[in-house]
Amino acid sequence: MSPELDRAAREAGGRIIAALAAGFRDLDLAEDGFAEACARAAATWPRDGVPRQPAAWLYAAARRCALDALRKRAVRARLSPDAPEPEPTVEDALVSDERLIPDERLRLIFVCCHPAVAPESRAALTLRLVCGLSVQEIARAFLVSDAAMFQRLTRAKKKIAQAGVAFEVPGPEAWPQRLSAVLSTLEVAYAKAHEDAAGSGAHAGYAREILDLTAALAELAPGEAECLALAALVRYAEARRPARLDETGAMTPLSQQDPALWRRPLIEEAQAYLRRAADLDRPGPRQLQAAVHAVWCGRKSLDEPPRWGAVLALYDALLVWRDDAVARLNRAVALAEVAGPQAALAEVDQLDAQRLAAFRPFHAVRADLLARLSRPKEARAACDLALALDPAPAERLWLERRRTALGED
Amino acid sequence: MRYALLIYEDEAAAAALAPVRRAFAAALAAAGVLRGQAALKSADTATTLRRDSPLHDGPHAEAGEPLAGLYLIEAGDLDAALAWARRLPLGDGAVEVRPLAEAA
Repeated sequence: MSPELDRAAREAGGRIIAALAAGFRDLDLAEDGFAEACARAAATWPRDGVPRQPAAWLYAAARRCALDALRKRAVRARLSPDAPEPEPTVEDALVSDERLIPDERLRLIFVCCHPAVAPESRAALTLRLVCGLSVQEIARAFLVSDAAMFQRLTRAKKKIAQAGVAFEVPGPEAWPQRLSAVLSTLEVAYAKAHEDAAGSGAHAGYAREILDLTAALAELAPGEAECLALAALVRYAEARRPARLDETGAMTPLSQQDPALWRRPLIEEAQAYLRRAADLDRPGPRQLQAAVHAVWCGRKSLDEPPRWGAVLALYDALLVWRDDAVARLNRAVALAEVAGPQAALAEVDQLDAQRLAAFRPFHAVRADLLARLSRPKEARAACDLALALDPAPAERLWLERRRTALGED
Repeated sequence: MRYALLIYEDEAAAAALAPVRRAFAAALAAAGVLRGQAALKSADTATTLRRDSPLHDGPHAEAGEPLAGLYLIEAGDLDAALAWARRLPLGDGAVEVRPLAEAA
């Protein structure tokens, strides 16, 4: 694929598929139409040159491909006589401007995150259709085989098509249930984007989609505090992306990141969302998580000591809403700084080690605490367990460095 | 679209809920969405046929709550059908909402 096509497909794929899906009310037709348009672009752009508006070209072509497929389907079903190939319409000519691709991503995300779709399928479907990731990329993010992910997506699309899920943004009366499914899905999707610390190449684009989507949701539901909080949360996290890798490509832990590298405008956007959420006076778990980010992003330089006490207090509050391993581990990291590594390790060792055996952060946090307690042998073992769980390259480098610093048996 | 609301529950629940179910059916009818309904006698009255097997005295699935009854309703989309299913009086059982297979 040429770089121009690759970029256009990544940047506009989600919008194009969403616009087609909303127009035709058919996910497969939208997906196939877009794939066909990309194939046509791959064949014609090298010959005829890259169009002035690549995204608009792809949208117009995908729409024609989808219409064509519909026509063939109708002929197969003998519902109508064969119609001639549709000529490019006035509308097609109009979309020579890519701003005219209707933004239906919000509508599509409510379809993908319908509570009648299995929770483990919602995030995958959203990443595929709204963010435009390939099945292979999603399979990697969720640690399943390509075939298994393909099946999961196919099943979800079939359910949506056949069970009669509406292609509409639901009304406010349905929000408590519907919005919460959407927010959870976006959290999972963003966590997958964020996991890859480098965020270079493939994932950088879809973090952008999630910024757009959270902004659109916040606009749709300005009275929903958790919705505003999620918009804040992803902005705080994205703001720190430039500082997440050191010059060797290894992950830099949050407390060692240089605040000068953080993207101030995004932090300011995040603060504005979080303030609006707080004004609604309806606390919730995402607001607390965003508040932790806010404490960190308030740091002006590495000379300023981190506010571990504030972080710890926020995690204490978060446990009331969300008492899970992630919250407990994050709390332990703060506790180690406030009350010492012994106290933190005691808390971590109360977690269900068997259930967390395949959870990398569990081993990484234990390795760190054990090292600080001068128990290098156990620290090395924990480090090895984390390394065996296939970390992303940046995290692997960082873990390997820590492992080396612990010496040999 | 038409949907089936399939009710799975034991006999005692079905009997206890019969009067309120009549009110539910009346509400469906008043809204003009009721297309059919049936309450089934208890599962031990069922006889099951399988190819190349003798008749079986009992329901197809012995485990779990048996199918006890169903409503056929007209609904614009899944959410509308689910909204009706939520209004269906239910004890410990479950209601399965399934679209009917029919030409689109």
